[in-house]
Amino acid sequence: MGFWAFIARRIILAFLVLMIVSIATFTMAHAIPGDPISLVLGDRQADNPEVRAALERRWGFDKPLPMQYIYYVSNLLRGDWGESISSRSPVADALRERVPATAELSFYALLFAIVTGVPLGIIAALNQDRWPDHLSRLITLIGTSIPVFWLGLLMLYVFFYQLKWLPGPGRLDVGMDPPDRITGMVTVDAFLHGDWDILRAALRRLVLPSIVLGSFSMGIIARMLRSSLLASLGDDYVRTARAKGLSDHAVVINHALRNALIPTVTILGLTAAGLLAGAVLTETIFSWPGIGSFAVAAALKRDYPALLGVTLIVAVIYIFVNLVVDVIYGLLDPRIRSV
Amino acid sequence: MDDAKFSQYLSRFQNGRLDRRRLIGGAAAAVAASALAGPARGVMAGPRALPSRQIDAKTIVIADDLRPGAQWITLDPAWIYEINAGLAFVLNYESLYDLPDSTKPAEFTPLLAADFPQVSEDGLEVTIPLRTDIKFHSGNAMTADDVIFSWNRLKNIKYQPSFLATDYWTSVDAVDDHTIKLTLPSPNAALVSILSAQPLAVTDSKLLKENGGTDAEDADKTDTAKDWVNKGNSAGTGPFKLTKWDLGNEVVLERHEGYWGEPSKFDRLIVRNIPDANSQLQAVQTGEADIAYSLDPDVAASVKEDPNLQLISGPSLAIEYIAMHTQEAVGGPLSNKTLRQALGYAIDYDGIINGLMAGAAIQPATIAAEPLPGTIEVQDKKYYTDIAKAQELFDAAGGGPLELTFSYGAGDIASGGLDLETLATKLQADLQQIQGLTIKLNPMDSAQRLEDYRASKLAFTVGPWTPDFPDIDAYAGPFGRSGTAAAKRVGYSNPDVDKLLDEGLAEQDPDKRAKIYAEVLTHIIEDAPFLILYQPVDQKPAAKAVQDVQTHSVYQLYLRNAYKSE
Repeated sequence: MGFWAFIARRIILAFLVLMIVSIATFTMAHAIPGDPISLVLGDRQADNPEVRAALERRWGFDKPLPMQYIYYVSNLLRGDWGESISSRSPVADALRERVPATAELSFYALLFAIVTGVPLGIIAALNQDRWPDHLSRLITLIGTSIPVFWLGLLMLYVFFYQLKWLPGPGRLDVGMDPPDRITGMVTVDAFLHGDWDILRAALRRLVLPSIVLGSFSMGIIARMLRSSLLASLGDDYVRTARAKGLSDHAVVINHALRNALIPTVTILGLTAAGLLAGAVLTETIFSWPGIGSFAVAAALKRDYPALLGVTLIVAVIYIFVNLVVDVIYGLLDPRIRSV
Repeated sequence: MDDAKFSQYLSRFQNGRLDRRRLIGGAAAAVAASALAGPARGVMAGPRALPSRQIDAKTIVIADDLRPGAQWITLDPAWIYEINAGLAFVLNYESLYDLPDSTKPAEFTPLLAADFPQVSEDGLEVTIPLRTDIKFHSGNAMTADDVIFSWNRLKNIKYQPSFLATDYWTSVDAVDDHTIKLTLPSPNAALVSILSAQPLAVTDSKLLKENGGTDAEDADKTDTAKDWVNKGNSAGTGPFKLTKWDLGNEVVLERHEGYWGEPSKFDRLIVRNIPDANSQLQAVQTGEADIAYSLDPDVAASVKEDPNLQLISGPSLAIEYIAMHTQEAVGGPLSNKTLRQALGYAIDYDGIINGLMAGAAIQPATIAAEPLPGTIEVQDKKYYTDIAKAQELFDAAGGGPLELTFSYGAGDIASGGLDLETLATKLQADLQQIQGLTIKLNPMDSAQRLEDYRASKLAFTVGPWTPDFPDIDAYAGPFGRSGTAAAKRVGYSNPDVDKLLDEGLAEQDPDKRAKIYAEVLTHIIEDAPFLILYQPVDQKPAAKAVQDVQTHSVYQLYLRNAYKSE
């Protein structure tokens, strides 16, 4: 099958998935007991029918549920994501600010996970049951088993509070304005504007949260790679390659590693999406203005427009990540493409 | 990319001609470089080096939780109803009256008003002179029309604070450019306190109209000025004006040159988004912030010992209370007054205040925060811990075995930062000191609990209360008057209390008024629909250099006189 047909089919499927996700979220959000209007109304106005009516009108709750959904979708198609109930501001504005913040953090976390996890996995596999293997496995065990919130607080305590090597929570230094928006990702925008002060400040503030958020993925990648690399090192084609007289380097990197990467990429896709979920705690500890904290607040306050918006965005990201994973599969293993 | 090119790309990748090693190596080097840049510099700069740019002496930085849906929503007066944001709001917008020192809750001073109101004989007509020298940040002069526009807009936006513009007067008119007249439905001794409320602040009508504001009947659908304000704009008269509203990172207010009153001694207020209380404290300890908004009561002692820090503290107006339904259909056995009183004597108030709250709270006599008028007079009537007495009353009420279900919002935080789960467990242990009484804890979804409580469906629950304005009637009214707010939620109705409350609102003489409210409170203590657990003391850790900042029970922090020593 051609590449474009493959992509087109995935995009059509993606729209179907999005529709199902939005209907499911909409129904479930409204099925949970708890009324968002009474949550925003103070004790004083809770019993005032006029104020309640004005707010119900504002958020369209005076209409039947199926109509509310149709309005929501038709507004969405015009680019109107609705107004958040708890923060009384457009959901689109919030997502526009917050999605890039989470994406930026997840990107650096994943980068950290890959550049540490892949070498750790390779070193462990090549030195099976010797000390580098044990050390690597210890590191990955720590990475996967330490709770994110605890690691976050520990890192802040050591590197910010005690050693003062790195700055504390927040995305930029106190009083520093973000660069004019291009992508919304501070490091990218600062780089594009050539504003090195901001770039440096932003990178320094990314170090701790990226390590904390990426530590779990790092552990998973290293473990997965170690076991699959060990398996492929024992395969016939590796013996053949060695018999041809290829160097160790060529055998490991060009032959064994590529096959070992396939299961790792699957896991990578899953953890990349999982980073968004893990981001909730990391974002709280590091005062990161991302979608994690936004989603939690929206759920607790029964803020339907915000909840729907963030769910749809996360669904889009999941679908996109899965798509990327499928494409990478195809690149790594031609047999998969023909299925 | 067409299919042919894609296949070509694919085969190149598969043959290893795209240099993956170099790609990975490059990325690794970049990350290593960025990770190392920090430590190297920090070490070279010596141990006292700050991790980021030092805050200058003319800037005050406050660390607080700015996350969505929390305490910072907007500074638009018609839409503001959050407690924390008050500290910035009162620097940006001003009301007719001010309460400079909240430990003296009866001592209001005129702010945009030129004097206190003149009240007619029957108490129904109130005339207020306005200052003639007030200019908004835009340079527009303030007139009576601005006051009327602001209050009509508040009313017609029909949001939470709109009751302030609808419930206390039937009409507001301009007598001349600098005088307004209010017509009241009944005499109101709390009027000055009400007029000090933040949503009744005066806004620049000309500027707001230019930016989507309206005071028309349909303002709830047509007014868009909130979005303009939230872009970092100001339509106020205060010593500071909002210049940046970026809740993900920080809110910035700059000093307004040309302020009509005493100019501020500092140039900039920055409120920085740091949600977690311990991180806020760390930010103050490392110099990234000057004041932390929140403090976990457990660590207050360590702040007091730290030579570089101070603890700014003062009484709050919040209370944490138990509500018991007084009607048989909902309250069951709790509809018996004697049983409710029995519970009042079983609670270990000292343990809650000194143990759980680490001393950062007091026990007020009843539903009103101290030292509001009337509260001091009833101090000797408050409940105290006496298990024998509790047992006696419990037996008199019918005795055991009895099981009561105690509902609370799971995961909620009680007044003063106390974990509600901890408080509920403590109460369960205390109450079960009574022989024959079993307390079943019922943790509920927070939203659901609030809804059920407001629908008057809960027999036995716990919650916080903060008043809308600093007056005894902002407690005694909602807790005492039949069919309103808290009283309605527990089905409480006492005709004597209703009558006294009407008298209290009409009484202009402060001493007589205090006596009337003392009587109201005595009734509420005796009837015991509510039991008050504690009134927290606000505690805010700050750097030593911060001077003349006080906690304020309404504005949270009073920063008008603040400055930093060099």
